Parts: sequence; C-alpha cells; structure tokens
Amino acid sequence: MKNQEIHLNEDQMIRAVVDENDLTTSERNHLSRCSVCQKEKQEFEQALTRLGDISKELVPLPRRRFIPAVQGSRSSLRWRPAMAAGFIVVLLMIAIWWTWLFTRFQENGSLQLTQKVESDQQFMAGITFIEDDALPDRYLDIIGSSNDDDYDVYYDDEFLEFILPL
Amino acid sequence: MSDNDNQITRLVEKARTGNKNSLEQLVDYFYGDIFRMVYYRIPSRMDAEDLTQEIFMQMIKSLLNLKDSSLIRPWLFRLALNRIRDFHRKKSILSFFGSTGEIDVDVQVKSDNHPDPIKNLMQKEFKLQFQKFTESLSRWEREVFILRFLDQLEIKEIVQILKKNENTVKTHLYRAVKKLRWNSELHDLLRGEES
Repeated sequence: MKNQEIHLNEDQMIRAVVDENDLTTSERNHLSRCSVCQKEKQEFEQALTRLGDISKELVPLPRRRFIPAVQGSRSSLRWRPAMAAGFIVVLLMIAIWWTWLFTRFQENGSLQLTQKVESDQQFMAGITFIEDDALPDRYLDIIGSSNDDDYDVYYDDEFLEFILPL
Repeated sequence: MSDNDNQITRLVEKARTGNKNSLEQLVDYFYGDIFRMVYYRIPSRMDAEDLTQEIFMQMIKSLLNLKDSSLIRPWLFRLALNRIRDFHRKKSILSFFGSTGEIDVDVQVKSDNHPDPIKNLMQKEFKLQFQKFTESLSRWEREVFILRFLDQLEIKEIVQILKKNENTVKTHLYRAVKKLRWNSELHDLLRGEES
C-alpha cells in the first residue's frame, strides 16, 4: 500500500524517459524496485522507439543513387556567384544608360518646344500682318491710301447710288 | 567507442586523404539516415531527394574542415539541418513573391505511394498524425523531439548538432514528450501499433 503511494508521478515518469539520471536518488531507487513504474516506463519508451521504427519502415527508398565525384556540376556551381555579379553589373549599366538617355531626351524635348513656340509666334505675326494689310503697298497707292489710317475707304451714299442706282 | 564507430572514424580519415572507395562507403552508410531525416522535414519526396544529394555534395567539399573524425555523425546531421533550414527559407521567399515552385499535389501523392496498399495507408496516417503533432510543438521542441525519437540520436549528439546546452535540450525534450503523452493522437497510434 505504501509502495503504491510513492509511484512516480507523470512529471517524474517523463523525466525518467528523457534521462533517468535526472531523477533524484529516492525516485531512482523506487523505479528500480517498483514493477508497476518499470512497466509504465517501458511501455512509454517502446512507444517512442516505435516512432523511429515506423518512420524507418515507411520511408520510401531514394530513387537516385548518389555518385560522389561530380566534377562538372561542381565547377559550374563555382561560376554561379561570378555570373550573378556580372549580371548585376550589366543591369546597373543598363539602368545608368537608360537614366542618361531619358534626361537627354527631356532636355532635347524642352529645347525643341521653345523653338516651335518661337516659330509659331513668327507665323502668327505674319498672319496678323496680312490680315491688317491685305493689299500690297502698290495697290494701296492705287486706291489712294498707303497709310494704315487712311486705308478704310468711306463709301458714301453718292458713291453707292452710282454703283447701285435705286 | 564501439567497433562500428571506430570503423566509421577510419573511413572518414581515409576519405579525407582522397580515398574514393572510403568516401563511397561513408556515403552509403549515412545516405539512408540523412534521406529519412530530410524526408520527414520536407513535404515533397523529390525535394527531399535533391536536398539529400546536395547535403552529400557539401559533405564531400567540407570534409577537410571536420576537426574530429569521430564527430562525423553529429557534424553531418548539423550540415543537413542547416540545408533544410535554407530550403524552407528559400521556399518562403519564393512564396512571398508568388512563385512557390510547388508541384501538383496529386503528382506528389502518387510519387510517394508505397506499392503495398496497407503500408500506403499506414504511411499516410502516420505522416498525418506526425505532422499534426509536430505542428503543436515550438520550433526547438520539434527539432529536439524529432532528432531524439525519429532520427534516434543520443542527447549528447543532439547537443553537438544544435550547439545548445544539455539541460536546454532536455527541457525542450521533456516538454515535447509531455505534449505527446497528453495531447496527441500520435501517441494513441503508437500505442495501438504496440498492442
């Protein structure tokens, strides 16, 4: 009866399974004497051992066999960092060139725009001049006014009656 | 040190001098364990096979850096764990950019299928329960638990692999085992297998 009272509890049992040396001397002494505790510990350990055994049983066989010396693939692996570095340098160069090209294009664009505005202004000034002075100077002399202020001919009633008699 | 360990140490020393035969024997000896370790940490079998090959390529390249030949096992497992971490990191970066590189689930299931239908069922159930359980653990609990009970490594080896204090490893293991005992269908499955 007294033996039953001092059976290893859950924590002690787990500690015994993890490492029996971690138990106190009295716990170890009890374990060495008590068949109930021994049985429980043994069952628990067997379950845990079974875990490894099942995993061994159920693991598939690897389909490929490893061949220790594979020089070709190893030497190609050595070039990988160099290739990656080269690729990064090329990418950087493209990025720098692209930025330069873009900036230049922007500068050219604004210059061209200014020139276009100037030529438009000149063109519009020409049109305005023609609108104001549609007749060349020669003809202005014929109609009797080469001066801008005199250009507007006044058509009086007498003149109109001459053209369109009533 | 057991005879087997001595033999492995001798193989490592010969392999370090460039003995191809010893190197092949060494690869053959660890290939199954490393493949199994990778297979239960990576969802795709094809990825697991590729990664296992890469791990052994790296092992060959770095074998000269191994200071103590007797520590080949924890050294190799550490190397494998780092490669698995790199793989998961790479995968999460790819998925962030929308290119997961995942293969079709159906193709994956077919390629993983065991020829024996009963074993096939067991395999699926085990993988499912195992995944459910490990997802309930914290990162270090999961790492320590799998190394201890799935990969069947000693606590001292786990200490060397994870470069952690022995008590820290035991604490993580204790918590993981406690979770297995109380909250896991995996434990029921393992107990059912026993009886």
